[in-house]
Amino acid sequence: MSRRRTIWDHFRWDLLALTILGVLAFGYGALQEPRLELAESPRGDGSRPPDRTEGDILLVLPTTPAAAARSFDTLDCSYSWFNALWHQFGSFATAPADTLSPQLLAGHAAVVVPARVAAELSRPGREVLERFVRDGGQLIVEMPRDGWDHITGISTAGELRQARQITAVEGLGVYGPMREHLVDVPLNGRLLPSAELAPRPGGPVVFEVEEQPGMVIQPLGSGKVHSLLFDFACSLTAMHQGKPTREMEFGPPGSKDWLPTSERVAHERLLSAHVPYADLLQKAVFRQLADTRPIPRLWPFPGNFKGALMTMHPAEGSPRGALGYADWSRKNDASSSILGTADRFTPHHVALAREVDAQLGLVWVIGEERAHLTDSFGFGAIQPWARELSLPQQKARLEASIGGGTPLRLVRTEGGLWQTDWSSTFRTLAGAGLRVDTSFGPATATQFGYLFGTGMPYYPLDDRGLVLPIVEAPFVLSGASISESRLRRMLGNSRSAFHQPLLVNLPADAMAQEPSAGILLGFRSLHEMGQEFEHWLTTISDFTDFLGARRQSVLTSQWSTAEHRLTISVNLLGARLATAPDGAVASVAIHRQFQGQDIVRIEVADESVRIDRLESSGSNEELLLDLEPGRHVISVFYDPPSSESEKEEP
Amino acid sequence: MVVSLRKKRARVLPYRIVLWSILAILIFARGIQDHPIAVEATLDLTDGVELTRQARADILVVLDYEAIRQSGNTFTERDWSGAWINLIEQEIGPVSIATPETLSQDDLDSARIVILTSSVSRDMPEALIERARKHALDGQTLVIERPEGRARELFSANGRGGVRRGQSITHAEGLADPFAGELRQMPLFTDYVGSTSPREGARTYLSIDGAPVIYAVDFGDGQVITVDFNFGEQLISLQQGRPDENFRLRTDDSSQSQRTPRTRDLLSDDKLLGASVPFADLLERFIVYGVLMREEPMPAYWIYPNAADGAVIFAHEDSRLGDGGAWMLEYENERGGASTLLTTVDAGLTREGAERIHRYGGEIGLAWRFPEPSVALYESYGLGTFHPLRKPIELDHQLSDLRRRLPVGYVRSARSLEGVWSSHWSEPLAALSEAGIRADLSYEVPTHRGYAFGTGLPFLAMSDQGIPLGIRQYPIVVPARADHGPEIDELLKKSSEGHHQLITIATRPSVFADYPDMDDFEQWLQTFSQIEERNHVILNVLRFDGYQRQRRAGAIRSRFVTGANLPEDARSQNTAPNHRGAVLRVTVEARERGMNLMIPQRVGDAEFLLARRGTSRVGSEVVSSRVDTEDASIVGFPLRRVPLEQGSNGLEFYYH
Repeated sequence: MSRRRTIWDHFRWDLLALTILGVLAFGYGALQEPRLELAESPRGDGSRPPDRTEGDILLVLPTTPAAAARSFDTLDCSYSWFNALWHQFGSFATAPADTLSPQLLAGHAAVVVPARVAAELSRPGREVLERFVRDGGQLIVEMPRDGWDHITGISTAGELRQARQITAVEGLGVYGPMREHLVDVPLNGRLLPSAELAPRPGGPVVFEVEEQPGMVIQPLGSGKVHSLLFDFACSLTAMHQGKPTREMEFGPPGSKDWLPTSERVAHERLLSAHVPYADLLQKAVFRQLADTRPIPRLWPFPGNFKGALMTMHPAEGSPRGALGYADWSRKNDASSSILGTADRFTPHHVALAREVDAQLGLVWVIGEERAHLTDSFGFGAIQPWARELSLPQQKARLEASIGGGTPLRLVRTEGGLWQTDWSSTFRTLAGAGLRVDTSFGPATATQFGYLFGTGMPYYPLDDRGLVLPIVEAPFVLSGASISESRLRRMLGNSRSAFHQPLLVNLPADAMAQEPSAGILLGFRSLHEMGQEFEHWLTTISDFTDFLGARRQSVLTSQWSTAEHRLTISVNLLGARLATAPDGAVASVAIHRQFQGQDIVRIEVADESVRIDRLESSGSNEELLLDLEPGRHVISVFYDPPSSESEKEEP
Repeated sequence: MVVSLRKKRARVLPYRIVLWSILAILIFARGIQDHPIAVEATLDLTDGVELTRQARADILVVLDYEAIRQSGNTFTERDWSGAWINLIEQEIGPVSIATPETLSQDDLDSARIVILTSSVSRDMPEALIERARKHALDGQTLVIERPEGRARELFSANGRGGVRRGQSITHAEGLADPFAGELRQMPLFTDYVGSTSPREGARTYLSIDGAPVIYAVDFGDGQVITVDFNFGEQLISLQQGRPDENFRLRTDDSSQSQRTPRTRDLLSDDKLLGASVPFADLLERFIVYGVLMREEPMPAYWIYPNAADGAVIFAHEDSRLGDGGAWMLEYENERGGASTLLTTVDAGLTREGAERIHRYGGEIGLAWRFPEPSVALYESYGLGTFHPLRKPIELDHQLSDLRRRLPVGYVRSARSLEGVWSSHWSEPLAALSEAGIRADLSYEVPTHRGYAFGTGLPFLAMSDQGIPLGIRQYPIVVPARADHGPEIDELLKKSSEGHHQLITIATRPSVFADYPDMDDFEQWLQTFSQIEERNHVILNVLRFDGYQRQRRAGAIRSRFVTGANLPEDARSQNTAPNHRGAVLRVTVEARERGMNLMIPQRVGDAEFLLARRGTSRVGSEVVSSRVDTEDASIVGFPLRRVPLEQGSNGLEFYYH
């Protein structure tokens, strides 16, 4: 008896054929859209930069790193002082708090104690500082609370408040842009309570925050104590790295993983800021040191330049546009930076970039605004899987296209997008060995200026408050926000008051994405304007190299009250750069006046220097002494006050 | 058993067929969904407009549309009498147009010049000949083109030399150098009528190959001007382009591949590549200022507003930037100009973007995606979500899509994207006209700057039937990517020195998107200074077209009187003792501000003395005031130019 045949028996070959066809169709579909495996890039960690022992100013840093911050209020911002001193002075000393001793302090004109150090400093440490001040030193102490009253001369007992704004600047004793704009500086962090005090010169208050003393200077022995009752360093940090809207997170809850960097700004005002508020605040604090004695510094630009002007051209797609812009820079005897992606920037483009004297960097493709960078894999011609290239792989691939074995240092993220947490993007970039990031800046046509409080590169802090081994170089104009008038205004302000490096970001596809005549009009006259406003036409890589050399230089000084003589010992290091073939060396900036008296003579190695031939800073507060690299001893003689001159007369 | 198995298999077979058929259908459906079958689009074409008009004008053009239609089916056989309309409208402004059927005695009486085009003059009824004869005898001017039969006997040379193909112009009376030399260089595409002897007393103005082809004779108190060459064919060939005899484009046959036809293929002669001389306009202006105005002094509107020496239109073609395509317009607006953006419907222009463009005086036109695979935009269609067919989006749909985004409910200007054309000479123009477009900017030779189509000025396009299409073609003089031909400044210079041209400059806002060549940008900026320096005005197509409409719709009536008493302030020793001279009395309407009138500087031996305006009556006296005039010239013919007040103007121009 035969078995009853089922449908399966009749159609088994058909079904088998259908199955094979199905598998083939699926395989074809998989080939069309390979399965993507996302990559994890390694992350770097923050660390303490090596200490320096020489410099007029000593920054006392925490002995141990803080715990990872859970909110911005708990972040240790001590290293923002590092950025501030780097920007302002160039040469300064650092030491951990547990090494404080009279010997360590000897030879320094001023000591800076950040809030965390002030809170954790032991009584002997405070006593050492007290002795330093009583012997004629100056102390800047941030958020002094328990145990500091007898040094600072002010009581800060009571409930902490939030610092948001500087409310009065009568005690500052200056007029002009600083007085005008300081009240607009957005502050962040805590504010120590204090009794009502009168502004200088009648009282000790330099400026008020939230209508109470914010910065107070009190004499102590022969020296002075500068007390900052608000979170100066965290205010700077918030301006530099952004103010988290949630617990160390940016953007509203439910935000995308990546946001434009402009979403991080600390205050809405910064989205269209002609004023570098962070630098302005720094300057307002540090300039008070010069009331006691002139404090020379290393000028943040080589020679007599009043600022720097740089352009960069990220190319997320074809680099042709970037090459066009760079060619215009070359025709104007300048250079620019081209940042390309690992897939689109080929050796051919590298050759063209060299022809137009452009310096190269990497655009890190993250797959948000364009397709991920991937390597596909599988069997033979069938490659149904794709693996995303990690940042180090992208970097290595572009380095291979460039050849020559020089590691890439310059980077920008795709679209200027940034992860929403505090520092993981910085850590990833640092972990890949990249040293300069240029992702921070305006993202739309209406945004422009110093969105992050400064045009100077700065070291970002990680969640423990430690410095990451990468600098962020924010740009001030980008794409459609570029216009001739904005550029002219920023350059004019920079020459006359703010002395900034201005980085202009002109993406390769700017004229495709947001075309405007202003972009081309601005870029067309950019180099000419840069020269007109005495700015150094350079690249961001060269500028950071110059700042590196400036930081390696050493400047110390001694003040003789009796002789009204400032003796400066300086060891200048220069950087030989593509945009400064003869070497870029920082000038020495010396206060033109001390206590209202002019400089009467300057001697370099006992040779007199013609003062009338020296360039001055835009505000005319400082004279710039342009020197060759190497060691120099400079003697600066100020006119003694009239009463003393009269006494000297027989 | 075997039989049973076979039977079972046979029973299963239909199911198997059904199964595999379904699968095949599904695969086919999927394939066709992904790759729909293309269906060709058809163009809706207009037949043209048989223009007739009773205008308050000095000139009457008579043409016979029926004769034009029946003139022949090939390009050379076709009668192109319609070209006379463009000539008078362009150079004078208002013109009356009549057909033999609509021609009234009033029309004839009120016209100082009557032009009997070849469509009429080749087979003129006796009654019309008589009316024309009387018109001339009464002191007016008759222009007659290639007359035949009794009309030729009556008015023109004998024509016994037969019809010949013209080689070159050999003489142009009164035309100064360099314009005379330029005219001699003009490529000819015309037959002319030779005669064994000239008409007695004829004044020859133009000769081709040594034979008089424009000549005038006195006729009673008036004069008759004979045009003995095919003016229409010459003009149409130069301007609208020359197809083969079947109106097919003459694409380059050396490559056997089927090349997409482009407007470059309309070019009538390679000698026109990079031409710095607008030959068609030079001929037209010679006829108007060198012939008509010398025989019959008359006024004309100056061609550009505010007495500018010429005009520039910036036409920006965009198919990728959308709202961003307006960036050049914004800058042009800052420089005091208004320009035109021609955008495709898929470029991404939004309503907000369009509103912004309109706010600063920009015009938006259509960059037409012609139904040709290289530029067409397709839409698929079918049943529900199954769309197995696709068809190019039609012109009407493209226009309505664009209109929806505009703050105004019309689109007046268009350009076929990348100058793609149909293989038929006039089909795209007929389609654009049918869709309501009034200005087309498709004509260009992408590689060369210059007047490749004999003109920079818009010309009235004709259908292959010889009927006006109601659309004007604005040929691109400076294409976006041209590397050859005269530089813009040279074109501007020649324009300001006598050719007085409209220079349409095509640019692509996206040109800097891929490679921002700053030298090109510099050059673009420099163009504005050059335009200013050469006294040219920057307008958009809509504004220029509007101005020309006002010129055409205006009114100019004039009367030339000899032996008139000169006013006191015109009298001098030269006019003594009787102080009599000639006066050209003009009544003219200026329909907008900035219009100017021009009159000849010289009439016969008499020179212009002065102009007076106004006929306001004070008491019993008619009071007029002296009007300042300024020198002007067109292709070397000296003229006086006087600004008009908006509204009606009464003017008197005195000569002695």
